[in-house]
Amino acid sequence: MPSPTVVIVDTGVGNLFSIARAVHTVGGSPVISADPRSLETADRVVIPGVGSYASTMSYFAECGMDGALRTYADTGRPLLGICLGMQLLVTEGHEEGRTCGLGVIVGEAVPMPSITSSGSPVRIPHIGWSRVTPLSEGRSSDWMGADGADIDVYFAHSYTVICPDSQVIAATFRYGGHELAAAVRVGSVLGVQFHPERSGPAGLRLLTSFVQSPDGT
Amino acid sequence: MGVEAPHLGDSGDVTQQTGIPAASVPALAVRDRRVRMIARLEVKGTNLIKGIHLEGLRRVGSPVEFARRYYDLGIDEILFMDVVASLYGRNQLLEIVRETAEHVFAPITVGGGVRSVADFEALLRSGADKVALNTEATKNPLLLKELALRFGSQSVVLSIEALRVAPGKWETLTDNGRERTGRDVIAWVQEAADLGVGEALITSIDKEGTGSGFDVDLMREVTECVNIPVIASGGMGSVHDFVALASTADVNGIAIADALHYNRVTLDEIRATARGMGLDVRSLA
Repeated sequence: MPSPTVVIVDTGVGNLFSIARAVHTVGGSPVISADPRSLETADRVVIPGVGSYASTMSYFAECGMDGALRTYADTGRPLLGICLGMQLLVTEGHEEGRTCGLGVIVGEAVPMPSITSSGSPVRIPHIGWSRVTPLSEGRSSDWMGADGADIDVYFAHSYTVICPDSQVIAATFRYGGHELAAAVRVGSVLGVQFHPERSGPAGLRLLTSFVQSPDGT
Repeated sequence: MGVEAPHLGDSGDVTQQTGIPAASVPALAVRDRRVRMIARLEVKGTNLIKGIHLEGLRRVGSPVEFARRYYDLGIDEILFMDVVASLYGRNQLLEIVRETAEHVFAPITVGGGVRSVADFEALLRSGADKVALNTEATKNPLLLKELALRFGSQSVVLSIEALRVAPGKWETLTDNGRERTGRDVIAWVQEAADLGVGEALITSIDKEGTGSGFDVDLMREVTECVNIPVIASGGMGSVHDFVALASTADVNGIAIADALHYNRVTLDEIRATARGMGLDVRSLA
């Protein structure tokens, strides 16, 4: 089988190198690109996760990447948003005011709860390895590459995604006593709040599934 | 808009889930907390080195090789600190980070000599996930705010070298413990947290390289005064030191340097002992 072309969208800031290396390691051909036309021939697309919501969306708007990503999502080819990239998939972000997201999944990116139910403060950002539990109902494929088992993966974020349709939530994790979205999924569009490219063998298994399986999930 | 997440309810008090008997660590049970094991690799030029009290440097080996070995053994995070951090050495540091990130799929934090947005971004682009600032931050605290806005709080780490100057009082030092700043450690970490720093790396100069245990008082004070994650560094000599700190101070990460480099402790040993004490560490499955 030829190596699938995985376009990693250049968000203008941050660590794209690690994602490219991880994609290469699991058998994909990574291409870092800010050119919307590169999505036309991509087998897979990754939206990486460092930067601010508003500045990334305006960067996308400047180069036409926002429209290209929506068009790509409509094709049914696999799209993976990582961390901020997952948050950009939803309708709206609440970081430094409100910003429209890509809107391929209905939801909002909001600040993480800063206190527990008993009123104790929660350390934010959430930085570290947390256990992620896949929610399997109605989803036959094993997108985490873990046979439905929990995995420990690396998170680094201050915002979280909430969705009105709970069926969109593909996995959860616990932090500060709250159960939050670790992954969202609609069809071939997958968003993960954690960093699979920083999550050791468990993360690489997820990326293998994304890169190698016929539908990316 | 008031969009709710119907299935994402609040679990109630976390004390019920940690499995730690409330009586043993009452102050800590309110937060679900998993302590990261972080390998601290001090770099000079192309060498991994180790000193005592941040002085008296000795060559240990290749930083890239050590980082890879720790990754294979299940380290939770790699921390590179460039102890020279001259302009001349920047390219070597970037190359070390790049080579490491090629094979290490775990978070990498890098500090030492970061003076500008450009320095910060160059490290991110080479494969760093987080970048730590120390000296420059004390001179120009607003740089922290600029970095947090641009790259997100989660990538900005404040590194503090803390020297005990009186009982319950620590002063911030810079330049690997050579320069005094007059800044109180507690006041400084609070100021930096307000500026948007996402994590604090606290190194005890008194304990650094001694293997005589952590400055638990310092780590307790810092963790109690801020609500960002805190990494403790300096003093790890045995598995006991790790467990003693993790069970008495609300730290999120513990940095281990020569105890790991010289095989005085192993990651498996730390994991097993920590679990035996009811502490939560990452599962490698």
